[in-house]
Amino acid sequence: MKKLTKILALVMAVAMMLALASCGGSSSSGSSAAESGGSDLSGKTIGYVTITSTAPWGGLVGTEFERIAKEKGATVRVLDAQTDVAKIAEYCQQMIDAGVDALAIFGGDPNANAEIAKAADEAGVPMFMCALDVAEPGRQYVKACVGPDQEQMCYDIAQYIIEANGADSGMKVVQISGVPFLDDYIQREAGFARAMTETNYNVLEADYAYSSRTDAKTFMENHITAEGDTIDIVMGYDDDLTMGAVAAIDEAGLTGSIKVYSLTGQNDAIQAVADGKMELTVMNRAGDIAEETVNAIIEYLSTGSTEYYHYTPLTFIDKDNVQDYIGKGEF
Amino acid sequence: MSKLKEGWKKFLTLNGASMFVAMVVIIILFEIVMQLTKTTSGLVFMTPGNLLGILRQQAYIGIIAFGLTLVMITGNIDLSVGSMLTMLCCVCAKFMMSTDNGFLGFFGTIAIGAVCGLLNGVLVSHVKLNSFITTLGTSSIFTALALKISAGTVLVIPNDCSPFFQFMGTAALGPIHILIIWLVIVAVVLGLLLSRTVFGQQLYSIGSNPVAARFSGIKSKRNICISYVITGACCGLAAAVMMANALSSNPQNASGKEMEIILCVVLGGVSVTGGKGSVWGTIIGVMFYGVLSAGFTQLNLSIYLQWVIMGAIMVAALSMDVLKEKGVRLWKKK
Repeated sequence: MKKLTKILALVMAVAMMLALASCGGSSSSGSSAAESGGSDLSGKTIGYVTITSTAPWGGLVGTEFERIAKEKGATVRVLDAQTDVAKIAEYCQQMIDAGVDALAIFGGDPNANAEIAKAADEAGVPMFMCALDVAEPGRQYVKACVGPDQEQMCYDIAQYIIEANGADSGMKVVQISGVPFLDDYIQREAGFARAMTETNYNVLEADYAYSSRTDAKTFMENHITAEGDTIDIVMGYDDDLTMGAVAAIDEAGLTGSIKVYSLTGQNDAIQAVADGKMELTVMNRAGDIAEETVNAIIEYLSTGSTEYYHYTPLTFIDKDNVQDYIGKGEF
Repeated sequence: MSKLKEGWKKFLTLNGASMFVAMVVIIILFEIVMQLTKTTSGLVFMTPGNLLGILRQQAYIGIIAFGLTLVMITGNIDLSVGSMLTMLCCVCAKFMMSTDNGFLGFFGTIAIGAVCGLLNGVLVSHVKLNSFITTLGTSSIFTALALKISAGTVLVIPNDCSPFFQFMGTAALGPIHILIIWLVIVAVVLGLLLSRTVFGQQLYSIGSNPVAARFSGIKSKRNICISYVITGACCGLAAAVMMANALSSNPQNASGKEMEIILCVVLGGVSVTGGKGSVWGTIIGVMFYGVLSAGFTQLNLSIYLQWVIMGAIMVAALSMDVLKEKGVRLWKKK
């Protein structure tokens, strides 16, 4: 029995180490140009540090980046900070110390990222930002920022809402957001808030459902209980969470009387637009950001320069064009 | 009058009684504040619909908290319940997306939950690893598995999936939602198991004095292991009903929920060192937490203010229980 216990303990220890490695640690995957057929990044090692690889959209940016860079012949090293902003700097330094040929960062704190950019620049490692810009002092050290302008995206969504409902209609707005300390959500909320200052809307404090659709639904149920049918608009900062609010509105029989606006462009949200349960979703394709980041890296490594802003397209999907996008979301 | 006093005193000695009183006070306070701030007429917070709604919202956490109560009474802990729930949600969604077999989706998830619990149980009881470290480790395994199963993306179960499966998470008996029925079933079964069976009493003995329990002939290893299996099965049930209700999962679906669940159990009067507590107390803990969360959202407080107030209330409530345990009288008679 004692022997069995020891063996079991050993097996479990190994299993845990493997799981920890796959979950929080790094993954390194290389492929030769011959294997992949690509040549643009042959022999190059690209570091990718992400704030999260488990959030659906953010995770997809990482998986797509890894896939595309590998196809181009690169060896890709990935480190996941697991939503710990401080770890981004630590992991980037590890990448710089390891001598990667280029470093891409997804998420984190723009100010802290500015410091990392400086360190990378001093070490001669070109740095690229995915989906999130670095703070102003760091821009001279970053080679490119790829993705939509998160703040502007939500400002534009707010403008769409204002156009549809009028600026002085006194709408009551519920906000369903994700993680309160992640900068992409902070910027999205800031963009929305900037546009709302031009209206007389009553915008309620944002609720943070993190990544839980169930929690988002709970928040919406509580608002419906407290505010009843006085709610006019729901602004969701992520389709998956917004769908929780849509379910609560549906169950309360308020579909149509509460207008729902969101972003990401996932399939069930697009379907909800088609079904009249949502007014708008904005498709922000993770794959586009990943591909454009790889392109920016290739361009920089081969020519020594690239444009700073590489904007990726955003598609506003509403009742007028929804039929063209049904089933065409990334997930 | 003296009978009433006696009854009140007796009530206060019950597990989670002070928490219950605090909860009632907070419900009344929320109602008063809402009456002052809202323009609507009539009750807002103290309506049966709202209170039932809170109970329904707390069903997932509650079901797991009841299972965890058993583990914590033995003096152990399970920090993997959040990531186990996430993984099981992904497993359930995957079952439903690939087979559309409601029976398999529902009961298969519960069975896999029990197996996950068995893994924790064997490691803690038979391999004798520290429960804190062990379940922290298995938590990483479950997170990694959730990521693998979902391929890092959102898993959406089709709206037209098995009616049996959807029934398990969306049906209602009049105003009573099926989630509340699940919550009550688990509470009653585990409550009776803990209070009316030899197994339940043995869990208390193991938690109070593990050495004495062993010398008394109690099969500690087996009982601890069973308590983990029950917790795992509860996670499976919570995942299955959550999926039946929400029809969507992702690899971060319930990350961080373990802290909420442990908090509910501790608020309900379960001692973190073991040997004390009850499922009935945990019900109060779960409701107390639900009332606070719902009240804050309905009052539209900012998240930061919510965290501060929530923390302060938790510390105050727990301090009251500790002081009561030490025999300190908060209000002395003149």
